[in-house]
Amino acid sequence: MSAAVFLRALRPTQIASSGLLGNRKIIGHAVGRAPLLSAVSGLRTPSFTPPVVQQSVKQELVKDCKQEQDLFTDNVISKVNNQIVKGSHGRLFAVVYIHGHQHLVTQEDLLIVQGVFPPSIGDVIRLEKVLCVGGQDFTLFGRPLLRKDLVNVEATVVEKTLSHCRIYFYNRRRKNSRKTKFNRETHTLLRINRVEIMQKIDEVPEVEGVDGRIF
Amino acid sequence: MTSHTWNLFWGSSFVRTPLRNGVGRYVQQLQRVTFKFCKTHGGSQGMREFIEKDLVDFAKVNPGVVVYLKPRRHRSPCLKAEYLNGEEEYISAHNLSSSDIKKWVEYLRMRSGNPVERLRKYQHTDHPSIQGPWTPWTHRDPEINVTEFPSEKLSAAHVTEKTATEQVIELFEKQKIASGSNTS
Repeated sequence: MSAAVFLRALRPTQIASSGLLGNRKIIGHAVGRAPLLSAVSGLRTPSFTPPVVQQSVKQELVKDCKQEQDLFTDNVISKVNNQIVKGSHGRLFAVVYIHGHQHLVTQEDLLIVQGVFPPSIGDVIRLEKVLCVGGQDFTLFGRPLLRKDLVNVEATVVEKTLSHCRIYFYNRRRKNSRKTKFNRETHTLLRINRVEIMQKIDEVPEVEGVDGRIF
Repeated sequence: MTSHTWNLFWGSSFVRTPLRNGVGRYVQQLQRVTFKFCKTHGGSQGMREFIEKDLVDFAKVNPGVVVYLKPRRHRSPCLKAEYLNGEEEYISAHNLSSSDIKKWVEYLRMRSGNPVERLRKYQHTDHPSIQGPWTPWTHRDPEINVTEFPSEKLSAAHVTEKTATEQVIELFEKQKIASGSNTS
């Protein structure tokens, strides 16, 4: 059923209120020869004069907030840098990735690493894979790691022992089949000595990828 | 015996070090080691070999540890370690080779005196929360402090997805833009 045939049955005012033409505002009815609504031109012309429709233009005033946002970020960065320079952030925490696990550590706390871990007792280690660091008022997130120049997490190896004996007992009932396995895992105890932020956060290094190393 | 029984046998504790070792300075916890062995019996062969070859190096590397040798006739060889917190550890070295004894001596050297127990957690901290522990109001809008309940705005259903009508309108707008750009 073509649209032209259907519209023929309605009056212009009825067409406007029917909603067939969508949200178009009818601004007036043209007098005389009017443009055809149907694509099938020349075959059938409507006997009435269809209204000339004008699409309503939607305009919104979009406020340019870029300057305000830049001011806000600069303000926040300067506050964080102030705290870092003065050292007034207080106790810092760091999320550290070690041996496939992530741990939230602060100064003076103990951590156990399971399995083969070469450093011996008394060695001071630097934990380099830091995912985030923060204090009471701010948190710095790495993507996924933070730069080594920025954060320093040091730990001392305090002890290396074996865990308690874990017994794995397997039994197949009524099959005269049983197996016993004993396992003791090596535990390395780390004492976190310090968590500190070394630089201002917007200090971009001249050369990327060096991370403070000197070759 | 069930695993529950074994856990009771081992005992359980949290991670700890004697006297907050490592916070300021690290102190080796091994105080003295006693090597008991027989001068003639075959079971002490490994022990005697260890004493000949590796004992002096061990003593030089660990100047803070006192080393005692106790030859005892007709007795099995053993290692006895005593730690600064008064704990003692005894390991039988009967029929062990000198390399095995060396490994056990290293194990005794690197331990603190704390007994081996099932650890409940693999971490210990005296400061669990720095930004403040979580409360139900931590990530809530402080606006709720000054609203009068019941509030229509806050009681309204949370609509996360776009409704079908909104999606159709969006498609229509996109079409318009596309057709407008094509014609222009």
